[in-house]
Amino acid sequence: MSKLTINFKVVSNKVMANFAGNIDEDASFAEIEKVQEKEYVFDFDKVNMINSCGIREWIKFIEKLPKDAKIIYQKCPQIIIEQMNMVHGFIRQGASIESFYAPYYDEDSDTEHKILLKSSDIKDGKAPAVKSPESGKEMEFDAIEAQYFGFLKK
Amino acid sequence: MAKSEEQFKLFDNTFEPVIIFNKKKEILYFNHNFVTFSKSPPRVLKKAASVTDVLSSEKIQIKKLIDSCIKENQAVISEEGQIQFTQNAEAIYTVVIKVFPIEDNNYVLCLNDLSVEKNLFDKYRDQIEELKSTHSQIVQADKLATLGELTAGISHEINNPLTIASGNSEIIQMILENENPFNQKETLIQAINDVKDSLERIHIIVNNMRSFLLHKREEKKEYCKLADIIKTAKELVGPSFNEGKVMLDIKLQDEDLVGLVNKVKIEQVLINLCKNALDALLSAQTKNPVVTIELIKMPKENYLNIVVTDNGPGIPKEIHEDIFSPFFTTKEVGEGTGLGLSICSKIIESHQGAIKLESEKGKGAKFTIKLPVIEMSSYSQNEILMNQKNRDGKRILVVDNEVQILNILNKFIEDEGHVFVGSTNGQEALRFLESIRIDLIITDHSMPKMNGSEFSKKVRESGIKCPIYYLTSKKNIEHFNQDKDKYNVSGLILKPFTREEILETIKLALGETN
Repeated sequence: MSKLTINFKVVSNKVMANFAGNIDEDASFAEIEKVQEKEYVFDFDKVNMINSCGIREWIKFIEKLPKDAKIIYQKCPQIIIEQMNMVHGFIRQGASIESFYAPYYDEDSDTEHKILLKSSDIKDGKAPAVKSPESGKEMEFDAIEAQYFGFLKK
Repeated sequence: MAKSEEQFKLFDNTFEPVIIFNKKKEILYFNHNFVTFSKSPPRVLKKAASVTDVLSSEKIQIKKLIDSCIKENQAVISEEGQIQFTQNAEAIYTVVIKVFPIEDNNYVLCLNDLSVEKNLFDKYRDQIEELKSTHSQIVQADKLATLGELTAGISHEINNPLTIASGNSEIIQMILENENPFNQKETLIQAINDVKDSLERIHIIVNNMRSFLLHKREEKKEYCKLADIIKTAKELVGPSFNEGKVMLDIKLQDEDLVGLVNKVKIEQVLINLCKNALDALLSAQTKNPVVTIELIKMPKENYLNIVVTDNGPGIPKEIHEDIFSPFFTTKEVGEGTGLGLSICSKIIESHQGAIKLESEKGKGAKFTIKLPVIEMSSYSQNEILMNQKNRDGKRILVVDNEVQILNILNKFIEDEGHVFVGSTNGQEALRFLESIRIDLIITDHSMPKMNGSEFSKKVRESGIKCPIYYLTSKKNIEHFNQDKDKYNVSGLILKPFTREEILETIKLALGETN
């Protein structure tokens, strides 16, 4: 179990933070929440796990950020997307998801892939066509689209 | 879309992972949360031949659970256990599974995920164990520090009998070197006795120190005579008091008062309080300095009081609240750890008791330790233990003025999963019976304040109908014969007894109440 680490920098009123490890009951946002800025960019690329206690800590954290701040979520892994779809308050009002990972399956090579998509890639709730890096053939979206892309409607 | 599938979609709104299957255990539907929770892509779930192919458990017999639901056509719930999903075998979840029938001979398997609670419970339990271990190390360190401070006095106390023993052994040697040593037989016997007494005195001092320091079972509480604990504490601090020419007096209202306590820990509290009083008296150069330890039990009170009083400089009111806080000290740097009274307070709390200070500047200090009477402490301790073990035992009251008998029976009865309530005195036991329901009473017959017959009479007069057994020696069998019909005394346990005899009798006796 790896404890959450948060590396962040502030550039021109913008806080750029990289989260890595587990967001659970031991997660501490004490340092980053002291920085009150106009814009926040959160990168979740290296987050391995999030549990219900971590969600509670996360919601408490984002509520402490300035009300009018712009918040952007980047490179959200599948576990974060699933929480966004289930838990009210995980994405604060006015926050946006710039990019996220989506599960794809290549039948030919029987391999699963997590593909980084931009929110703008999703049209009419449908997953974009993606070719397999192994076989070059178009892969099948490996989740239920209506469920997985639910967060985009929030 | 079929009507049933429309209905199944309602489960997409639940927080629980749900899977729906038919009588052949073929999967008909899985809700959104099942996909998320199991980390199994829909294509894998759709291909599974049976619901039992999707998840497995070593503890929960999933197939049996499902079969039982299908056969009885009613909801079944599993015990808590760990499961794995075929698709994601590394991840283990702690769940309770519920299976229940719905329309058209279909069934729902629903998971209640307890993994977070279980992990938190395990994590915090480990942390509490760690804290307990650290606390016990601090207590041990305090004991070492206290004893270290007492060493000068103790060395002096050992030196006295050592000098006597050494002098007398020289006398013995001189006499034995005479031509006819037995002419001085009486002097010889006297010298040998003096050596024996001196060595015995050293043995007591060393034994007290050793038991104080090397007491292993820190948490164990036993039925002990509080007077004995007070006397041992006096033995340990006595030399320092003698050296400082401070009087240490003990006043025991009743030598037979018994507590359910950890003997060494209560000794540690008394030594700490006496040592603090001694330091205060010496630093203030009080005239006619005296420290008194009193043991008092007020009638009809549920507490026993041990009161340590001194006639020293007193403690200013403004620091009364801080005095029991860790690292608070009024001594010079390096003279005290500031942990003594904090540890005392924790020790007394762990006995469900309280410690109180009454003092004013210039008017001495009075520390009152309140310990619950044994009926209350044994009841609450065993009731807590039983709740922790989730056992549905019975409450057994044992009345005997011999603490050793209470300790032995406590062990037998507690191991058997019952709540043991000990009492050394019929009057106190009767007071306890007024408020707590008891399933069985075992009472000694020959007791100083109220014998078994008087006790049984009072029990029956108060309308209590539970079985009473006498615990007595063969010479008192006639009391049982006289009382068995008069007070409905159900049976007799003869002393000495074995564990098996006691447990067999209890089993039979409790059978009567069922």
